[in-house]
Amino acid sequence: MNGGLQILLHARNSLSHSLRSGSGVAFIVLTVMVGLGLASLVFMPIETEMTTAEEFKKNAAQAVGYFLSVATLQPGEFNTFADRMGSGDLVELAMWGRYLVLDHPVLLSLTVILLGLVLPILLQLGSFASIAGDVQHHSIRYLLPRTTRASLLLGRLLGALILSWTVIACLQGAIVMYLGIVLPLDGWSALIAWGFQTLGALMVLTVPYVALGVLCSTIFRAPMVALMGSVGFTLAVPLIAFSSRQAWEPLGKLLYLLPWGYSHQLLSPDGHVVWKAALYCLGHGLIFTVIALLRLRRADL
Amino acid sequence: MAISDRPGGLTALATLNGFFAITSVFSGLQSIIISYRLLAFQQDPEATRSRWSRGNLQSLIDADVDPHQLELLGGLGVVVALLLALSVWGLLKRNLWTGKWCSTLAAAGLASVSWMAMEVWPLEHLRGVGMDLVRQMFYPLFLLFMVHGIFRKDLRLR
Repeated sequence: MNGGLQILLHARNSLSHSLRSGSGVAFIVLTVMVGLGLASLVFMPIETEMTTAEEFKKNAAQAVGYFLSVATLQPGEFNTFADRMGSGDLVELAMWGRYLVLDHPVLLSLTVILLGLVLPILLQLGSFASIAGDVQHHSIRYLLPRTTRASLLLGRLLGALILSWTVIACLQGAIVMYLGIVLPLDGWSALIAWGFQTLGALMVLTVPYVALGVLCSTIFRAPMVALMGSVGFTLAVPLIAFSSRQAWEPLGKLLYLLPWGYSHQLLSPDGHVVWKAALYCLGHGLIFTVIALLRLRRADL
Repeated sequence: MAISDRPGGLTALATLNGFFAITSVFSGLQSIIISYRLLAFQQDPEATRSRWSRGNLQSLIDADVDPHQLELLGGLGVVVALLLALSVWGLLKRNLWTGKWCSTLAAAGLASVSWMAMEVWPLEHLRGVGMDLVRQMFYPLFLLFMVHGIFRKDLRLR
Protein backbone atom coordinates (compact mmCIF):
# COMPACT_ATOMS: atom_id res chain seq x y z
CA MET A 1 0.00 0.00 0.00
CA ASN A 2 1.08 3.58 -0.66
CA GLY A 3 3.12 5.03 2.25
CA GLY A 4 1.07 8.23 2.42
CA LEU A 5 -2.18 6.30 2.56
CA GLN A 6 -0.79 4.09 5.32
CA ILE A 7 0.14 7.16 7.35
CA LEU A 8 -3.39 8.54 6.95
CA LEU A 9 -4.89 5.20 7.98
CA HIS A 10 -2.69 5.06 11.07
CA ALA A 11 -3.65 8.67 11.87
CA ARG A 12 -7.35 7.83 11.62
CA ASN A 13 -7.00 4.71 13.77
CA SER A 14 -4.87 6.59 16.28
CA LEU A 15 -7.48 9.35 16.47
CA SER A 16 -10.38 6.96 17.10
CA HIS A 17 -8.26 4.96 19.57
CA SER A 18 -7.33 8.17 21.41
CA LEU A 19 -10.99 9.00 21.92
CA ARG A 20 -11.62 5.52 23.35
CA SER A 21 -8.56 5.51 25.58
CA GLY A 22 -8.40 6.86 29.11
CA SER A 23 -5.50 9.16 28.27
CA GLY A 24 -7.42 10.70 25.36
CA VAL A 25 -10.51 11.38 27.48
CA ALA A 26 -8.34 12.82 30.27
CA PHE A 27 -6.48 14.99 27.73
CA ILE A 28 -9.66 16.44 26.21
CA VAL A 29 -11.43 17.09 29.52
CA LEU A 30 -8.34 18.50 31.26
CA THR A 31 -7.33 20.74 28.34
CA VAL A 32 -10.82 22.21 27.93
CA MET A 33 -11.39 22.59 31.69
CA VAL A 34 -7.98 24.20 32.30
CA GLY A 35 -8.32 26.41 29.20
CA LEU A 36 -11.76 27.64 30.21
CA GLY A 37 -10.53 28.05 33.80
CA LEU A 38 -7.67 30.28 32.63
CA ALA A 39 -10.06 32.29 30.48
CA SER A 40 -12.38 32.66 33.47
CA LEU A 41 -9.44 33.91 35.55
CA VAL A 42 -8.59 36.53 32.91
CA PHE A 43 -12.19 37.69 32.45
CA MET A 44 -13.05 37.80 36.17
CA PRO A 45 -11.84 41.35 37.00
CA ILE A 46 -14.03 42.81 34.26
CA GLU A 47 -16.98 40.47 34.81
CA THR A 48 -17.08 41.18 38.55
CA GLU A 49 -16.66 44.90 37.79
CA MET A 50 -13.59 45.02 40.03
CA THR A 51 -12.03 47.23 37.40
CA THR A 52 -13.04 49.13 34.28
CA ALA A 53 -11.98 48.02 30.82
CA GLU A 54 -9.61 51.01 30.49
CA GLU A 55 -7.96 50.36 33.84
CA PHE A 56 -7.71 46.67 33.04
CA LYS A 57 -5.97 47.41 29.74
CA LYS A 58 -3.49 49.68 31.51
CA ASN A 59 -2.65 47.02 34.11
CA ALA A 60 -2.59 44.31 31.45
CA ALA A 61 -0.11 46.36 29.41
CA GLN A 62 2.23 46.43 32.43
CA ALA A 63 1.81 42.69 33.03
CA VAL A 64 2.40 41.83 29.37
CA GLY A 65 5.41 44.17 29.27
CA TYR A 66 6.87 42.43 32.32
CA PHE A 67 6.21 38.98 30.81
CA LEU A 68 7.84 39.98 27.53
CA SER A 69 10.85 41.52 29.27
CA VAL A 70 11.38 38.31 31.29
CA ALA A 71 10.96 36.19 28.18
CA THR A 72 13.15 38.23 25.85
CA LEU A 73 15.77 40.17 27.80
CA GLN A 74 18.68 38.12 29.01
CA PRO A 75 20.14 39.56 32.25
CA GLY A 76 23.77 40.52 31.91
CA GLU A 77 23.50 41.64 28.32
CA PHE A 78 23.17 45.22 29.53
CA ASN A 79 24.86 46.74 32.55
CA THR A 80 22.32 49.46 33.28
CA PHE A 81 18.74 50.29 32.54
CA ALA A 82 19.97 53.18 30.38
CA ASP A 83 21.94 50.72 28.27
CA ARG A 84 18.79 48.75 27.68
CA MET A 85 16.88 51.89 26.77
CA GLY A 86 19.70 52.84 24.43
CA SER A 87 19.59 49.53 22.66
CA GLY A 88 15.96 50.15 21.71
CA ASP A 89 14.84 46.85 23.17
CA LEU A 90 12.46 48.39 25.69
CA VAL A 91 10.86 50.59 23.04
CA GLU A 92 10.32 47.50 20.94
CA LEU A 93 8.81 45.67 23.93
CA ALA A 94 6.49 48.58 24.67
CA MET A 95 5.32 48.48 21.03
CA TRP A 96 4.81 44.74 21.34
CA GLY A 97 2.80 45.12 24.56
CA ARG A 98 0.71 47.83 22.92
CA TYR A 99 0.09 45.54 19.93
CA LEU A 100 -1.20 42.75 22.20
CA VAL A 101 -3.18 44.85 24.65
CA LEU A 102 -4.42 47.93 22.80
CA ASP A 103 -4.41 47.04 19.10
CA HIS A 104 -6.06 43.63 19.60
CA PRO A 105 -8.70 42.20 21.98
CA VAL A 106 -6.83 42.28 25.29
CA LEU A 107 -8.78 39.45 26.96
CA LEU A 108 -8.07 37.09 24.08
CA SER A 109 -4.37 38.06 24.01
CA LEU A 110 -3.97 37.41 27.74
CA THR A 111 -5.80 34.08 27.53
CA VAL A 112 -3.61 32.94 24.63
CA ILE A 113 -0.42 33.97 26.48
CA LEU A 114 -1.51 31.88 29.49
CA LEU A 115 -2.51 28.98 27.22
CA GLY A 116 0.94 29.13 25.63
CA LEU A 117 2.45 28.55 29.08
CA VAL A 118 0.12 25.70 30.10
CA LEU A 119 -0.46 23.83 26.81
CA PRO A 120 3.10 22.42 26.54
CA ILE A 121 2.41 20.36 29.66
CA LEU A 122 -1.18 19.39 28.79
CA LEU A 123 -0.26 18.36 25.24
CA GLN A 124 1.90 15.53 26.56
CA LEU A 125 -1.29 13.83 27.80
CA GLY A 126 -2.50 13.45 24.23
CA SER A 127 0.65 11.90 22.79
CA PHE A 128 2.50 9.98 25.49
CA ALA A 129 0.85 6.62 24.73
CA SER A 130 1.06 6.75 20.93
CA ILE A 131 3.85 4.15 20.66
CA ALA A 132 4.56 3.10 24.26
CA GLY A 133 0.99 1.83 24.73
CA ASP A 134 1.38 -0.74 21.95
CA VAL A 135 4.93 -1.62 22.97
CA GLN A 136 3.84 -2.32 26.54
CA HIS A 137 1.02 -4.64 25.45
CA HIS A 138 3.18 -6.19 22.66
CA SER A 139 0.38 -5.42 20.17
CA ILE A 140 2.95 -3.57 18.03
CA ARG A 141 4.25 -6.99 16.93
CA TYR A 142 0.94 -7.68 15.17
CA LEU A 143 1.00 -4.31 13.43
CA LEU A 144 4.54 -4.31 12.10
CA PRO A 145 4.28 -7.21 9.61
CA ARG A 146 1.67 -5.17 7.73
CA THR A 147 3.23 -1.71 7.88
CA THR A 148 6.56 0.06 8.19
CA ARG A 149 7.81 1.52 11.44
CA ALA A 150 8.13 4.95 9.82
CA SER A 151 4.48 4.97 8.61
CA LEU A 152 3.29 3.83 12.03
CA LEU A 153 5.17 6.58 13.84
CA LEU A 154 4.26 9.33 11.39
CA GLY A 155 0.60 8.21 11.39
CA ARG A 156 0.44 8.21 15.18
CA LEU A 157 2.11 11.63 15.27
CA LEU A 158 -0.39 13.00 12.75
CA GLY A 159 -3.30 11.50 14.74
CA ALA A 160 -2.05 13.09 17.98
CA LEU A 161 -1.58 16.43 16.19
CA ILE A 162 -5.09 16.37 14.69
CA LEU A 163 -6.61 15.55 18.10
CA SER A 164 -4.66 18.37 19.77
CA TRP A 165 -5.53 20.87 17.01
CA THR A 166 -9.22 19.95 17.21
CA VAL A 167 -9.33 20.38 21.00
CA ILE A 168 -7.47 23.72 20.83
CA ALA A 169 -9.71 24.96 17.99
CA CYS A 170 -12.87 24.08 19.97
CA LEU A 171 -11.47 25.76 23.08
CA GLN A 172 -10.49 28.90 21.17
CA GLY A 173 -13.89 28.92 19.42
CA ALA A 174 -15.71 28.77 22.79
CA ILE A 175 -13.59 31.62 24.18
CA VAL A 176 -14.10 33.84 21.11
CA MET A 177 -17.87 33.16 21.10
CA TYR A 178 -18.08 33.97 24.82
CA LEU A 179 -16.11 37.19 24.38
CA GLY A 180 -18.26 38.22 21.42
CA ILE A 181 -21.58 37.53 23.14
CA VAL A 182 -21.01 38.20 26.85
CA LEU A 183 -18.08 40.65 27.01
CA PRO A 184 -18.23 42.66 23.79
CA LEU A 185 -15.31 45.02 24.49
CA ASP A 186 -14.14 44.62 20.88
CA GLY A 187 -16.10 44.06 17.70
CA TRP A 188 -16.73 40.64 16.17
CA SER A 189 -14.43 41.32 13.21
CA ALA A 190 -11.45 42.14 15.46
CA LEU A 191 -12.20 39.14 17.65
CA ILE A 192 -12.50 36.69 14.76
CA ALA A 193 -9.39 37.96 12.96
CA TRP A 194 -7.27 37.88 16.14
CA GLY A 195 -8.87 34.57 17.11
CA PHE A 196 -7.69 32.95 13.86
CA GLN A 197 -4.23 34.49 14.16
CA THR A 198 -3.73 33.31 17.75
CA LEU A 199 -5.21 29.91 16.89
CA GLY A 200 -2.56 29.58 14.18
CA ALA A 201 0.12 30.47 16.73
CA LEU A 202 -1.18 27.85 19.20
CA MET A 203 -1.40 25.23 16.45
CA VAL A 204 2.22 25.82 15.41
CA LEU A 205 3.27 25.71 19.07
CA THR A 206 1.55 22.33 19.35
CA VAL A 207 3.86 20.64 16.80
CA PRO A 208 7.14 20.45 18.78
CA TYR A 209 5.47 19.47 22.05
CA VAL A 210 3.38 16.70 20.49
CA ALA A 211 6.51 15.49 18.68
CA LEU A 212 8.32 15.49 22.04
CA GLY A 213 5.53 13.35 23.52
CA VAL A 214 5.86 10.89 20.64
CA LEU A 215 9.65 10.88 21.01
CA CYS A 216 9.37 10.01 24.72
CA SER A 217 6.82 7.37 23.76
CA THR A 218 9.42 5.68 21.54
CA ILE A 219 12.20 5.98 24.13
CA PHE A 220 10.30 4.52 27.09
CA ARG A 221 8.40 1.24 26.95
CA ALA A 222 5.90 2.04 29.72
CA PRO A 223 3.36 4.81 28.86
CA MET A 224 3.40 6.29 32.37
CA VAL A 225 7.20 6.57 32.30
CA ALA A 226 6.91 8.21 28.87
CA LEU A 227 4.41 10.71 30.30
CA MET A 228 6.62 11.49 33.27
CA GLY A 229 9.63 11.82 30.97
CA SER A 230 7.95 14.24 28.56
CA VAL A 231 6.26 16.36 31.26
CA GLY A 232 9.45 16.31 33.34
CA PHE A 233 11.57 17.44 30.38
CA THR A 234 9.07 20.17 29.43
CA LEU A 235 9.11 21.55 32.98
CA ALA A 236 12.78 20.96 33.73
CA VAL A 237 14.13 22.87 30.71
CA PRO A 238 12.90 26.36 31.74
CA LEU A 239 13.52 25.69 35.46
CA ILE A 240 17.12 24.57 34.91
CA ALA A 241 17.79 27.27 32.32
CA PHE A 242 16.51 30.12 34.52
CA SER A 243 18.24 28.90 37.68
CA SER A 244 21.58 27.99 36.08
CA ARG A 245 21.66 31.24 34.10
CA GLN A 246 22.32 33.03 37.39
CA ALA A 247 25.45 30.92 37.87
CA TRP A 248 26.76 30.94 34.33
CA GLU A 249 25.19 33.03 31.59
CA PRO A 250 25.61 30.60 28.63
CA LEU A 251 23.59 27.94 30.50
CA GLY A 252 20.56 30.15 29.89
CA LYS A 253 20.69 28.95 26.28
CA LEU A 254 19.39 25.59 27.56
CA LEU A 255 15.98 27.23 27.24
CA TYR A 256 16.27 26.68 23.48
CA LEU A 257 16.20 22.89 23.90
CA LEU A 258 12.44 23.44 23.67
CA PRO A 259 10.50 26.34 22.09
CA TRP A 260 10.24 28.09 25.50
CA GLY A 261 12.90 30.61 24.45
CA TYR A 262 11.12 31.91 21.36
CA SER A 263 7.50 30.70 21.39
CA HIS A 264 6.22 34.13 22.59
CA GLN A 265 7.50 35.56 19.29
CA LEU A 266 4.59 33.78 17.58
CA LEU A 267 2.54 36.76 18.83
CA SER A 268 5.01 39.41 17.66
CA PRO A 269 3.75 42.46 15.71
CA ASP A 270 6.49 41.85 13.13
CA GLY A 271 5.28 39.32 10.57
CA HIS A 272 8.85 38.36 9.68
CA VAL A 273 9.57 37.46 13.32
CA VAL A 274 6.35 35.42 13.50
CA TRP A 275 7.31 33.40 10.41
CA LYS A 276 10.80 32.82 11.82
CA ALA A 277 9.37 31.63 15.17
CA ALA A 278 6.90 29.35 13.34
CA LEU A 279 9.75 27.86 11.28
CA TYR A 280 11.81 27.29 14.44
CA CYS A 281 8.81 25.53 16.05
CA LEU A 282 8.35 23.30 13.00
CA GLY A 283 12.11 22.68 12.93
CA HIS A 284 12.04 21.63 16.57
CA GLY A 285 9.16 19.29 15.77
CA LEU A 286 11.08 17.87 12.81
CA ILE A 287 14.19 17.22 14.92
CA PHE A 288 12.14 15.37 17.58
CA THR A 289 10.36 13.36 14.87
CA VAL A 290 13.64 12.35 13.18
CA ILE A 291 15.13 11.25 16.52
CA ALA A 292 11.93 9.29 17.27
CA LEU A 293 12.12 7.64 13.82
CA LEU A 294 15.77 6.66 14.30
CA ARG A 295 15.00 5.34 17.77
CA LEU A 296 11.97 3.31 16.61
CA ARG A 297 13.83 1.85 13.62
CA ARG A 298 16.52 0.43 15.90
CA ALA A 299 14.25 -0.57 18.78
CA ASP A 300 14.00 -4.24 19.70
CA LEU A 301 10.24 -4.73 19.74
CA MET B 1 -8.06 -13.10 36.67
CA ALA B 2 -9.27 -12.36 33.14
CA ILE B 3 -8.02 -9.19 31.50
CA SER B 4 -10.87 -6.65 31.14
CA ASP B 5 -11.66 -5.61 27.56
CA ARG B 6 -13.37 -2.43 28.76
CA PRO B 7 -11.98 0.58 26.87
CA GLY B 8 -9.85 2.86 29.04
CA GLY B 9 -12.03 5.80 28.03
CA LEU B 10 -15.06 4.26 29.74
CA THR B 11 -13.07 3.90 32.97
CA ALA B 12 -11.92 7.52 32.66
CA LEU B 13 -15.50 8.65 31.98
CA ALA B 14 -16.74 6.69 35.02
CA THR B 15 -14.06 8.37 37.17
CA LEU B 16 -15.06 11.81 35.88
CA ASN B 17 -18.74 11.03 36.53
CA GLY B 18 -17.79 10.05 40.08
CA PHE B 19 -15.95 13.33 40.53
CA PHE B 20 -18.90 15.34 39.21
CA ALA B 21 -21.30 13.31 41.40
CA ILE B 22 -19.34 14.38 44.48
CA THR B 23 -19.28 18.05 43.47
CA SER B 24 -22.96 17.93 42.51
CA VAL B 25 -24.07 16.39 45.82
CA PHE B 26 -22.13 19.00 47.79
CA SER B 27 -23.53 21.95 45.84
CA GLY B 28 -27.03 20.42 46.04
CA LEU B 29 -26.83 19.96 49.80
CA GLN B 30 -25.45 23.49 50.13
CA SER B 31 -28.48 24.89 48.26
CA ILE B 32 -30.89 22.86 50.44
CA ILE B 33 -29.22 24.04 53.66
CA ILE B 34 -29.29 27.67 52.49
CA SER B 35 -32.98 27.34 51.56
CA TYR B 36 -33.85 26.06 55.07
CA ARG B 37 -31.80 28.78 56.72
CA LEU B 38 -33.49 31.36 54.50
CA LEU B 39 -36.93 30.07 55.51
CA ALA B 40 -35.97 30.15 59.18
CA PHE B 41 -34.59 33.67 58.77
CA GLN B 42 -37.79 34.85 57.09
CA GLN B 43 -39.84 33.52 60.01
CA ASP B 44 -37.60 34.83 62.79
CA PRO B 45 -34.60 37.00 61.83
CA GLU B 46 -33.33 37.08 65.43
CA ALA B 47 -32.89 33.28 65.44
CA THR B 48 -29.84 33.65 63.21
CA ARG B 49 -27.09 34.59 65.63
CA SER B 50 -24.11 35.29 63.35
CA ARG B 51 -24.15 38.84 62.03
CA TRP B 52 -22.29 37.77 58.90
CA SER B 53 -24.90 35.06 58.15
CA ARG B 54 -27.70 37.54 58.79
CA GLY B 55 -26.16 39.95 56.28
CA ASN B 56 -25.83 37.20 53.69
CA LEU B 57 -29.39 35.95 54.16
CA GLN B 58 -30.76 39.50 54.09
CA SER B 59 -28.94 40.13 50.79
CA LEU B 60 -30.62 37.00 49.36
CA ILE B 61 -34.04 38.20 50.52
CA ASP B 62 -33.35 41.67 49.06
CA ALA B 63 -32.51 39.99 45.75
CA ASP B 64 -35.89 38.17 45.82
CA VAL B 65 -34.40 34.69 46.06
CA ASP B 66 -37.20 32.18 46.55
CA PRO B 67 -36.21 29.54 49.17
CA HIS B 68 -38.52 26.97 47.57
CA GLN B 69 -36.82 27.38 44.20
CA LEU B 70 -33.47 27.07 45.96
CA GLU B 71 -34.69 23.87 47.62
CA LEU B 72 -35.78 22.55 44.22
CA LEU B 73 -32.36 23.41 42.77
CA GLY B 74 -30.66 21.57 45.63
CA GLY B 75 -32.97 18.57 45.23
CA LEU B 76 -32.24 18.43 41.50
CA GLY B 77 -28.51 18.60 42.28
CA VAL B 78 -28.82 15.61 44.61
CA VAL B 79 -30.85 13.64 42.03
CA VAL B 80 -28.20 14.41 39.38
CA ALA B 81 -25.52 13.24 41.80
CA LEU B 82 -27.41 9.97 42.31
CA LEU B 83 -27.77 9.48 38.54
CA LEU B 84 -24.07 10.16 38.07
CA ALA B 85 -23.20 7.70 40.84
CA LEU B 86 -25.41 5.06 39.18
CA SER B 87 -23.81 5.77 35.81
CA VAL B 88 -20.36 5.14 37.33
CA TRP B 89 -21.41 1.57 38.07
CA GLY B 90 -23.13 1.26 34.69
CA LEU B 91 -20.14 2.51 32.73
CA LEU B 92 -17.78 0.20 34.58
CA LYS B 93 -20.13 -2.75 33.91
CA ARG B 94 -20.83 -1.51 30.35
CA ASN B 95 -24.55 -1.70 30.99
CA LEU B 96 -26.98 -0.05 28.56
CA TRP B 97 -29.52 1.28 31.07
CA THR B 98 -27.39 2.34 33.99
CA GLY B 99 -24.41 3.24 31.81
CA LYS B 100 -25.87 4.95 28.77
CA TRP B 101 -29.25 6.22 29.92
CA CYS B 102 -28.27 7.26 33.46
CA SER B 103 -25.37 9.19 31.90
CA THR B 104 -27.78 10.80 29.42
CA LEU B 105 -30.23 11.80 32.17
CA ALA B 106 -27.37 13.00 34.37
CA ALA B 107 -25.97 15.12 31.50
CA ALA B 108 -29.42 16.67 30.94
CA GLY B 109 -29.69 17.20 34.71
CA LEU B 110 -26.27 18.84 34.96
CA ALA B 111 -27.18 21.27 32.16
CA SER B 112 -30.56 21.96 33.81
CA VAL B 113 -28.92 22.65 37.18
CA SER B 114 -26.58 25.19 35.54
CA TRP B 115 -29.51 26.83 33.73
CA MET B 116 -31.71 26.83 36.87
CA ALA B 117 -28.88 28.31 38.93
CA MET B 118 -28.86 31.30 36.57
CA GLU B 119 -32.59 31.76 37.15
CA VAL B 120 -32.60 31.23 40.93
CA TRP B 121 -29.43 32.97 42.15
CA PRO B 122 -29.31 36.78 42.05
CA LEU B 123 -27.19 38.45 39.39
CA GLU B 124 -24.63 39.63 41.97
CA HIS B 125 -23.84 36.01 42.83
CA LEU B 126 -23.51 35.02 39.18
CA ARG B 127 -21.37 37.95 38.09
CA GLY B 128 -17.93 36.69 37.20
CA VAL B 129 -18.94 33.07 36.86
CA GLY B 130 -20.01 33.26 33.22
CA MET B 131 -17.05 31.27 31.95
CA ASP B 132 -17.56 28.77 34.78
CA LEU B 133 -21.09 28.22 33.49
CA VAL B 134 -19.65 27.54 30.02
CA ARG B 135 -17.28 25.08 31.70
CA GLN B 136 -20.21 23.43 33.48
CA MET B 137 -22.04 23.11 30.15
CA PHE B 138 -19.00 21.49 28.49
CA TYR B 139 -19.00 18.29 30.52
CA PRO B 140 -22.67 17.34 29.87
CA LEU B 141 -22.16 17.85 26.13
CA PHE B 142 -18.94 15.85 26.18
CA LEU B 143 -20.61 13.05 28.18
CA LEU B 144 -23.49 12.87 25.66
CA PHE B 145 -21.03 12.80 22.74
CA MET B 146 -19.06 9.98 24.35
CA VAL B 147 -21.92 7.67 25.42
CA HIS B 148 -24.00 8.18 22.27
CA GLY B 149 -21.13 8.43 19.79
CA ILE B 150 -17.81 6.91 20.72
CA PHE B 151 -19.02 4.21 23.16
CA ARG B 152 -22.44 3.50 21.63
CA LYS B 153 -21.45 -0.07 20.73
CA ASP B 154 -19.73 -0.76 24.06
CA LEU B 155 -22.80 -0.12 26.21
CA ARG B 156 -25.22 -3.01 25.69
CA LEU B 157 -28.01 -4.90 27.49
CA ARG B 158 -26.34 -7.29 29.92
